[in-house]
Amino acid sequence: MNDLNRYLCLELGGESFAIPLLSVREVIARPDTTPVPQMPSAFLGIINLRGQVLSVLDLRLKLSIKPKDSEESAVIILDLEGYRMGVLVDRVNSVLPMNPEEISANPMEHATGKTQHITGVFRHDEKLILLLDVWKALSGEERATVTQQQAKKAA
Amino acid sequence: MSDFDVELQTIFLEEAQSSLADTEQCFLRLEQDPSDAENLGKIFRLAHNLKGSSKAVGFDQLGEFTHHFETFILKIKNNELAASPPVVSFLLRCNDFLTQMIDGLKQDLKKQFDIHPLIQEMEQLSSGQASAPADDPPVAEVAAKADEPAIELSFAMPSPPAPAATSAVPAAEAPGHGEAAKNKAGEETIRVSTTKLENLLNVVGEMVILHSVLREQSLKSNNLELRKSLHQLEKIGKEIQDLSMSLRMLPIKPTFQKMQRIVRDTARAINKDIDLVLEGEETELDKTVLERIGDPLVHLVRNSVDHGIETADVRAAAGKNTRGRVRLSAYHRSGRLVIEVADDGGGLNPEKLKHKAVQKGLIQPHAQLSDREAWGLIFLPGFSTKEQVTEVSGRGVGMDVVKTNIQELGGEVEIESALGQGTTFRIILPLTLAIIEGLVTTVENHRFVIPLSTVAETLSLKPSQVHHRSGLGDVFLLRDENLPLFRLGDYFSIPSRNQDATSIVLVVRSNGNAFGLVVDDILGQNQIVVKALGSELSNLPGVSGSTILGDGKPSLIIEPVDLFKKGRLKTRPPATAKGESAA
Repeated sequence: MNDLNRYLCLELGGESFAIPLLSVREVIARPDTTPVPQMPSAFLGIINLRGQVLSVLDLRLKLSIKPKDSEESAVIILDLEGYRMGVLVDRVNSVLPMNPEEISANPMEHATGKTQHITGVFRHDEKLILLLDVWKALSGEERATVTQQQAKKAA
Repeated sequence: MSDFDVELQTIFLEEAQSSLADTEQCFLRLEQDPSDAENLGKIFRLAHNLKGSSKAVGFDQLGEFTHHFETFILKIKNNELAASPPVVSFLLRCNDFLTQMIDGLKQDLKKQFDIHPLIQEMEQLSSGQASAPADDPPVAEVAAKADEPAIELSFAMPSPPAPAATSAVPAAEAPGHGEAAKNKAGEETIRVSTTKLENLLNVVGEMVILHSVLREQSLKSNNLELRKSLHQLEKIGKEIQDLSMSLRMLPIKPTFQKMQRIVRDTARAINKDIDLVLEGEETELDKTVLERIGDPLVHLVRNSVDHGIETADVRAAAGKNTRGRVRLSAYHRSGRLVIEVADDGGGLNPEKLKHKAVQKGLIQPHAQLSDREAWGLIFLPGFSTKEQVTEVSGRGVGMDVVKTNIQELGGEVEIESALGQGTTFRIILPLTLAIIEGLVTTVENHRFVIPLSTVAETLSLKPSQVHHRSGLGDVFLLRDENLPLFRLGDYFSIPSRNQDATSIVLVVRSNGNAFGLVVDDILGQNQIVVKALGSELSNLPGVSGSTILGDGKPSLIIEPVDLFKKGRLKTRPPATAKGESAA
């Protein structure tokens, strides 16, 4: 099976999502984070990952999903084209191979602009798994929030 | 060609590059004192070595050119040719050409060059002094060349002198080159790639962090033996760190020497007589800082030559020596590196600067500015003080870039100026970017690191020293000074329960600004390894990076001056916000 078609399945508030395995660097247990002032609430803080300082975001808050804190919550360290960051999720399930032909388009794609980070839907064991473009979900909006906050303060 | 040959060639190119830097210096000295026999001897030796080795490693064209070059220099050495300014200019151009050849060969070992125009000129110059030697090439070109590493090898050829005298070059073999160049340095050196050095520094950085973690853990233990060994280990660790840091430290000399040439060429272009005085060339600084300080320095030096120093008649009228002087000096001051570019020119006129800034719409017409603030105007984007745009100093783009470049290095620029006496630009830089001394402070349960270099002093806050003035906010009385007082917790929206009585004030001084910053406590002073933050945090004002503290947890590094300048430090209500003039 080609790496390109393997996905990491995770849970956010009881819903199943999947992200491309190639963008995952590692998964760690939820660490203590050092908070960073003045960041949006989804920004949990910074952590020390073997000498490297990384930011960690709460992916559930980011996607406005009600968190379901459990023992199993974990941080996925993403490597998005050399840009590293951690995201907190409720649970990491498994790695699933997906045949591109079995992935259907996001049914809500045209209904609302708010689900642009969902790139597709995959049916697995009678369950729907949403394919997540983490980069879209995080970066653009995240940065916009930071700049907005700054603009507000500068005003 | 075998690998071995390629390796030899590569080594040769490295060495040739450094000898060319030497010869450039020698040529400049030759102009100052054409009779300096020792200098001439050195030039000749260098040229001879270059010729010998380039032929030996198989760079035939380079060999041919240097052969002619050597012959030409021999003539000067034997007094058959006077080292007049045009001849020196020509020598410098040959040196440039050689540098270009070396650069070209570094890219492509088989690169071909057109060496004949210069060889021809050499022959013309040496055969008949009468054939009015060509003047310098158009200086704009020289100046441009200094800006961008020349890739194209189109050499600025002056129109050939009229009488095309082409007598064969007498191939006089040098008699005196038995005195082979001696290795000046008694110490043996090895070349190490910078990647290796960087890896070493990274690992040492990790080791320093682990040391702190270990120390914190050992404090919980009663094992004295363990603590003692750990203490020793820490000492050695510190030594290793210092040593590995020092490996990256290089003298500023080569950078300063490049300025000789820039001053000479720039001054000639605008018909000024200017001496460059260098001081503290042996001062060492981190390689990365050194690499990145070159461009801003070139700009400041050119600016001094072009805008700073007046024209000869203006100087004469003011009763000054018609020869201008630019002084470039470097020294260490309290753990930082200071580079000064000082000219003895007309100085900055605050009124003129304000007028210009108003014209350009950069400030309000009735803005009240101190002299220092007025001088600072030249760092605003789109500001040029001279009426005419010159080829040399450009169009007012740059001074703001200079400032930005220096700030990116964690440094700052100060200006001192006295009308009629000159202007001094003072660049203050950290010695290294990788490890800094930091104060670990707390606000409630948050820990923030503040670079020690920004803190002038620390003292405990006495409530009697604090006065609240509406319109000004809190003012703190330090000896005879009234300093504005800000609270770090306020900025970070951390409600501090701490009463002022137990708080600590950090007094921050920079560039004429002074203020007090209140924190709850200081945990200690540590050597901290600066770690970059992700780009999502790079815009956070007042935060320059992060570090990992003794317990392995990350913490933010705060730049108080940055907070202050950006007006982020708010005074406490009910005071109305104080207008920040430093913006």
